[in-house]
Amino acid sequence: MTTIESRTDGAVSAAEPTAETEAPWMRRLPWVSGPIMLLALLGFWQFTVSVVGVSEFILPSPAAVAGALGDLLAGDDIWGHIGVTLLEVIAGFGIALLVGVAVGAVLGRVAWLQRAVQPALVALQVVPKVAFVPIFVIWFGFGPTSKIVMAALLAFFPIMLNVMLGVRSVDSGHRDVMRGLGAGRWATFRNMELPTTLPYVFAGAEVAIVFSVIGAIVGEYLGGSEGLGYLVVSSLNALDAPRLFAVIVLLAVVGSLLYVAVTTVKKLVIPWHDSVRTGV
Amino acid sequence: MTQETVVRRSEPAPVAPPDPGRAVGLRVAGVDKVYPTRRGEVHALSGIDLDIGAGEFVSLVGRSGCGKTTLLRVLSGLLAPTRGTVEAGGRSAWVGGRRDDAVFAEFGLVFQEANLFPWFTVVDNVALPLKLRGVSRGDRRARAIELCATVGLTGFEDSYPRELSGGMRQRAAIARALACDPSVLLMDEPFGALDAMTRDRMNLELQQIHAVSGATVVFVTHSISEAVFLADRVVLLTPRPGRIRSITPVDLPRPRAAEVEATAGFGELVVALRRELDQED
Repeated sequence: MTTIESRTDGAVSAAEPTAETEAPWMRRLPWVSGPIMLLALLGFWQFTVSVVGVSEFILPSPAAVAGALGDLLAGDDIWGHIGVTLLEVIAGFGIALLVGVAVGAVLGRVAWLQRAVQPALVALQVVPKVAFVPIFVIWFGFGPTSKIVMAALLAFFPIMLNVMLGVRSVDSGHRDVMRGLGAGRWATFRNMELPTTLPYVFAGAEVAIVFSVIGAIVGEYLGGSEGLGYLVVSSLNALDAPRLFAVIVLLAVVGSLLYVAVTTVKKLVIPWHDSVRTGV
Repeated sequence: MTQETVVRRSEPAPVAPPDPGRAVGLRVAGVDKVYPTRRGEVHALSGIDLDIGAGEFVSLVGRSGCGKTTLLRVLSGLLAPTRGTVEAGGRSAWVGGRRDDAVFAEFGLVFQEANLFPWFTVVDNVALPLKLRGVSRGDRRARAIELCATVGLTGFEDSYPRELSGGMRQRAAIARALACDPSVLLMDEPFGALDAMTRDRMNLELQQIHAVSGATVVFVTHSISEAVFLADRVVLLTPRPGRIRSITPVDLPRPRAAEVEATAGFGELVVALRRELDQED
């Protein structure tokens, strides 16, 4: 075939400006505003403690919390506690991911089945699931298993619901393309259905990883002798406010790192998606 | 030489395709399409008979709801006809409500929307038909880059569709349709969403693609002047039920430049077709 020699309009040389051509300072803004807000918080915190004079039992000073955090990290057993909580969160999240994707994909495709289980799904969703923790302790004991089950149960719903939506969101125009090309089932799945659904899987996973942490921690609050949640409760029982705050700081760090891990995987797997490009 | 000829069910216009060995003709005979709805049956198409010669360019025009898109979807293999037969190169495309994939594999489809996959870059989109046929990665990339050049997308091969303008997306969609060297190109208002200037340019380019590839083209549009500009024959459809009202040969010489729209012959054809469309009411 010959090349068509018509290169006069702007359409060929210049693409329309899109959302991702935002100013560079907009992209860097969170990296500047984040530390500023953290400093402001610490400043306000220190001000409240030293000027207003709030009791050390109610609000320990940032320095005291930092000291407690240092002691914690210098201790021998802290990494064991972090490891247990991480194991519970990741195992629960992993189970929820596998089961959630499988159930969501089936319910998204089989309309009658989805209608049939709809009442059960709604019932399960409106129930405050952390109320099940005592039951799970009875069933699975005080070890990590009951926490893994709790984390998985909380993480399951956002993943399953998103996948169900994603499976149904295949563009009818895209379907026409694949049908027109006479694509088989496997080719259709690999080239169209899977890429359509992946952003929904990640949208669910981003919520689910946070829910998994909640599930594991609440589980540890209510039973057992390991994990960061247990450390929170034991610090409370010892009325050791600086240590309590320090463990919560650790929890925030662990939770943030897990969330960042999920979004990083998302950026690697679906770099083409709007949510990756606009950073939302 | 342009006499105003409005012929009902005329024979295919004599066209000499550059590559007559590959192009195939289409034959539509007695095709009905009936949709069952809550208020009874809707006749989208009724008694469609149409012969399209190998390498011929046929435009389907008519108002919204006249069944032109339905007819194209039947030809594309996306919609089974309720009654009647569709043949491509003498081979039946629908056998007992089931499509013969071997027939439709020869077709290239372009839709109203570009329908590019946002997860693929432009080359990967263009190479998709080759990927489905098991062409190796290197070969299909080379071919896709060649096709991008054909449709004027050089330099945008590795862009994602969202980075392209509407016109460029539609070019990519055309390149994808051309990837398997289709013998038949079926286009459903491919330039409908484009601005008038881009549309004029795309029409010129499409004319060239048709001339070079020698493919049979069926082109759905609601613009009479676009239909006349591109086609060897213009098929006018009327709605409720969708029927062929007339078939008008366009014997303007090719290649047609944009100036052809200023000639008397072109104007007469457009006026005659428009008058016919108005007679419906």
